Amino acid sequence: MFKLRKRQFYFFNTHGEELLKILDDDASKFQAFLQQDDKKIVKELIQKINAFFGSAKPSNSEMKIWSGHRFDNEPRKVLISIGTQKASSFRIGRPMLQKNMQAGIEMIPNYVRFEKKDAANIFLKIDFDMYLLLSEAERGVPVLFLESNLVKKVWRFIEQLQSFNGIEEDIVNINLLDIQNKKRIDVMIDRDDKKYLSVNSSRTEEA
Amino acid sequence: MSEQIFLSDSRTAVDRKYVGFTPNGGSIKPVHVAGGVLRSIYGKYNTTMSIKRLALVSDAKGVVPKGNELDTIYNSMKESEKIEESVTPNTLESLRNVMQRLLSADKGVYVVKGLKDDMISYTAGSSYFITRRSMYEDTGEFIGGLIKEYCPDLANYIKDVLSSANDPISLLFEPVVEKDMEEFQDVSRHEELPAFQNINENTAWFLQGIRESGLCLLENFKVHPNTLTQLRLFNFFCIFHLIRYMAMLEAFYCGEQIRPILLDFSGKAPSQSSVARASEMSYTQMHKSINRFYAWGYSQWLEENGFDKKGLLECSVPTYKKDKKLSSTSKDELEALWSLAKERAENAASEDDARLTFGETMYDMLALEASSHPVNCLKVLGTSSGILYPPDKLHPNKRFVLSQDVLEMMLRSCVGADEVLNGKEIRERLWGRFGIIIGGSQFELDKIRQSGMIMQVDEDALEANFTSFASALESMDFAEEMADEGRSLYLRPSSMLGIKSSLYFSLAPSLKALPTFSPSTRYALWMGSKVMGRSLSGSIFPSSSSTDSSALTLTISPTRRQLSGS
Repeated sequence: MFKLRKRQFYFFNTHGEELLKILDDDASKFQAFLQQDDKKIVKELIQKINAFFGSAKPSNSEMKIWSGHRFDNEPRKVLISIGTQKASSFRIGRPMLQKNMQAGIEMIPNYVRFEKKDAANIFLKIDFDMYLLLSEAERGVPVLFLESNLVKKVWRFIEQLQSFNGIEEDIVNINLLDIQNKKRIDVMIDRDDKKYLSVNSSRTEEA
Repeated sequence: MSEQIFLSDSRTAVDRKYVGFTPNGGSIKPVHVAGGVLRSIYGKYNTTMSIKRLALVSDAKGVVPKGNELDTIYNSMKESEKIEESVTPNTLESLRNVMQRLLSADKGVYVVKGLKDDMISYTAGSSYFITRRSMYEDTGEFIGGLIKEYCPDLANYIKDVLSSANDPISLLFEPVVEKDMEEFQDVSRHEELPAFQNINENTAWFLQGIRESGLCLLENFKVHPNTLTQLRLFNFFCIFHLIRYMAMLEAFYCGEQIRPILLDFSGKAPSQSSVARASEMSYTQMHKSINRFYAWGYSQWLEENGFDKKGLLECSVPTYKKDKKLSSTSKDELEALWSLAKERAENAASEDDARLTFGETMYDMLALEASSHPVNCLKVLGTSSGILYPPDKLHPNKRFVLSQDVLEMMLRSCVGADEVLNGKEIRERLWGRFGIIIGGSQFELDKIRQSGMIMQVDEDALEANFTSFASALESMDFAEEMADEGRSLYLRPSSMLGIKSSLYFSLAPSLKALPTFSPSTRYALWMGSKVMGRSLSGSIFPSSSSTDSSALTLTISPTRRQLSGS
């Protein structure tokens, strides 16, 4: 009887539209997320990805680019970063049918691509599963410790954003994040004078 | 002749003459391969003393190496104006601790007395971190020499990456790195090996695979902006070819068939999947092939050292090393093995057969006496780099289950930056470049049968394995399944390709569903299967709608009809 009622409630509810509106689960949020304009999506994603790397107060305007080098198949232990990417360097790619198909088929997209502006080949596909992962990160779940395929996908994207060819400044800020010991070190280096200008150490909760 | 045989000497001689390195380290790690490859390709190394002073804070027991005490380092850096006044000893110590963890992320840095290079293989990515030869690094030097000779373009590219030192780790150490390098002489370990002096069909095929896969990987590296990721993928490339090299030694020297590497994408345990079992079998065959090669190698060594059948039958039990004492148990075991070998060799038809019998026994004796052996080395490297599974020591039987990173390397070595391949082409390239089999196509079945590796295969299960492989690539955004379903699976390393918005039409789920499009199914696809129930709420799919039957998916319609009927 319960199953029958449940089925009727979900499958044959005569007030389905209202039901959809009051629901506040991840699926509804994802639906609303996809319907936002591109700028809002970029900001939300930057905030989520910063939270993915454990930032307690994640920025939504600049994305910190972390890297974690190792040669084996073990999880990353220490992360290193030498910069950020501004929100203006990203754009949103939306799936669409070819023009001659659009007339005949109405298509509702189920993902967007978070793309690097000057290199559309570098992108992160934000589908429902990816959205769930990033939302969990935003809620404070330490997803960085997971070695799931989704987490690896985020890493593949971030690592492709890491380009050092353009570093010509004399003063460079480098951040180190010891994941296991939850320690963050911020170092400022004068490349001309070959000198460590400042070193600051903090716990990651404060970062 | 009844000369005493020392097993250790024979092993060293066989490794030197036929293999090119000593694959005997049970503790070898991917970072050791990286250390050797990069030194061989770069052709120079560094003392790295300044890096050692700054970053090596303490050993495993917490003991600070002499000369690396905080006060000493702090004062020295202040004197040489490497740090500002505002940097305190405490913050410098924090930085040093994290630096040590950063450079030893692969557990390749062991702080020993005198900060010797013997146990230092840094996790880093530029020329400043290339040290003189450390333990287990000859393996990497060997494959580095091969790549230098047979895929020089890739080697030159890696050399440029190392020179540029444009990575964050090098930037972090920039104030202290030493730029004076010493020349590395021993760069080509393979040149003297018979397999590379008289190249047979199998060796040529192997080298062709290195060349083609290396050039394809290089093409992809040129459009990948991260040099550290490039070096990591390059190291996986080297490790995979090293494993193949060891598995093909028998084919190089004894004219045996090439053993395919069967990748398992079933995601199931061998007890539940015929493909997992077959993959396990392909690993076992590789294992046995290495055993047979070494047995042959020891028989050659016996011949070169003047041992004939008569002499061997009179020869006393070999020992591992001169003056090495044996426990009574070991002694008994070795004696039993040797006398069994003598019994078998007595009936051998020829001198060669007799020597081969003793060669097999010498390999078995070495497996008992030495701390490690070639198969163990292969297993350790394979599991730590994400090629073999399970990674734990409880399961001696491994199978080929690739990690995502190794899979990415493989794909980037098979699919060029601007290429779109179909299923047939990728199967051929995986075989030609890596000796890999995944599916059950006629091409792959022929390769399996020709090798004599597996007599019976479940063709359907193998094809399902290929479908799982395609799904794995699709989930990594490296492939797209096109509208005409299985026959046109296009592998597209899209994260390297400049896909224009207009090409987005190839998104897989929507197009696959085109023939059965209805408001309900569209919505279900849009939300994904996890929210299928919700997607069918009344407003989207009213019960009185006339669109309910023909367009529904099979999952939905039975329930609906039943309810409508009631």
